Amino acid sequence: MKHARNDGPDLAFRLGRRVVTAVADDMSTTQRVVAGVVAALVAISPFGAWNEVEPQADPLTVGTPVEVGPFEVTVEKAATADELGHLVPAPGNHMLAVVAHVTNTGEVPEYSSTIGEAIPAPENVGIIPEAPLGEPGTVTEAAPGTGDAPDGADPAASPSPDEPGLPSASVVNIEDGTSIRILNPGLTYRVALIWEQSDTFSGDVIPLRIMALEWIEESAGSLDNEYWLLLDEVAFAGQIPVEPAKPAPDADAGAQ
Amino acid sequence: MRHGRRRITWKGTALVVGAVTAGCALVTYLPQDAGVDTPFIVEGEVGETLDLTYAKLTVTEVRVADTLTGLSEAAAAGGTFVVVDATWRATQGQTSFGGAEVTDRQGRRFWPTNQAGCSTSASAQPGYAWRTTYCFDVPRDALAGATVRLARGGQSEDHAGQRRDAVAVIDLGITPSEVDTLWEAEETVSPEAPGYAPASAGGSEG
Repeated sequence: MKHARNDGPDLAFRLGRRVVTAVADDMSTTQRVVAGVVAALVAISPFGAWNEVEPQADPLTVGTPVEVGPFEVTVEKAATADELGHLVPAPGNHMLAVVAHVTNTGEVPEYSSTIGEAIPAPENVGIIPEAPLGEPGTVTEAAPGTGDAPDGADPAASPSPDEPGLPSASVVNIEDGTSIRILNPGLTYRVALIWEQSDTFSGDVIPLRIMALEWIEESAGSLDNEYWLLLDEVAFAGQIPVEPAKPAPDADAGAQ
Repeated sequence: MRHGRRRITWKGTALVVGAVTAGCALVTYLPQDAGVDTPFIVEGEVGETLDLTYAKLTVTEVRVADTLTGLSEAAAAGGTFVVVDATWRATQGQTSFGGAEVTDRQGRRFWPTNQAGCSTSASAQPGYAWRTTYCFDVPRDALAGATVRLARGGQSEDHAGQRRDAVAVIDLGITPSEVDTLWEAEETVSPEAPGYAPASAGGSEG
């Protein structure tokens, strides 16, 4: 009660205390408990206490087709290999490929990057993070005298060791080993989504997520219309078994 | 000069409200979008030279291929590649031709690949003919009656770059009876790099 006796206590606080005292004085213990619970419920309302619980992701299993935006995706398997075509890992790493059949079920072409972004790199399995352009964090720390305030995003990204910028997958058409850019309607491609993975990973499965895509007919926030927006919401998630590296590395991730 | 407050009369109010209502009605009910957006379609067929005002365009040949082989890579089709050889002749100035799209009878749209030496766009100076090869990966049911749409404006965002501009739509001449033969043929095509067109492809004109 020290604060209440100060010379300049906050007016609202004083008023509030008087109201509480006046109301609570005439109450029984039960009434006080009920009033306290009601006050607590009201107090937590602004902090999202009544928000709907986020819907859980649907299961993702090998061989079962799922609808992801304009695509039907069937994950066939995951496999590791020492190198895949033009994708050569650094020493101590190998390539991890998720093989999937992807069909554009829409009426217009889609970029392969749309499916590449919807299937983010699996987390906590040693995927090599993206090398930041020019290593901004390191440069800022090494040159404290420059006076430039570091970009707000960089310090925020660096504390979580396993998260920072896992790269988007390279999407390769397994049939011919080339990077595929356009997925035309009505066609099914067997593609490999490829990331570089550390040799320290020795698990049998990888956790794979497919994010939700939402069709934007008319964007309220930008001039862009009619596109698939990547949502921060996992639509499908599952554990995909990993086939071990083959003795003879080949450009074809799914030759077997 | 008049002094004092102007009186608000019923007549004046009715005039203003009437004018605003008429304006809203015009904007709402006149098909102005169609007038603003619709391109000038120039239709033709393979071998015909079309005048698009900014360029003359000839689709010289249409082939299908399972595989495309380029200098550094080979590309396999998910369906089959429709290979369209075209010759552009810019007539006004240096022009980039950014639009290339195949449309099938169901209205589905297909964009070209940049693999194996195929082009997705072209650019030419006036005074000579420039040969370009476009390769579209399409499914079997898109072949019959398909057309190719070529223009200087791009086709992304619902053909936004082609509004109020000339656009060529060329019938590829594939009949339903030809589809089986075309689909089953195992053809390999090596697209030629873009370059000056030979006389046979309209290069000797002008």
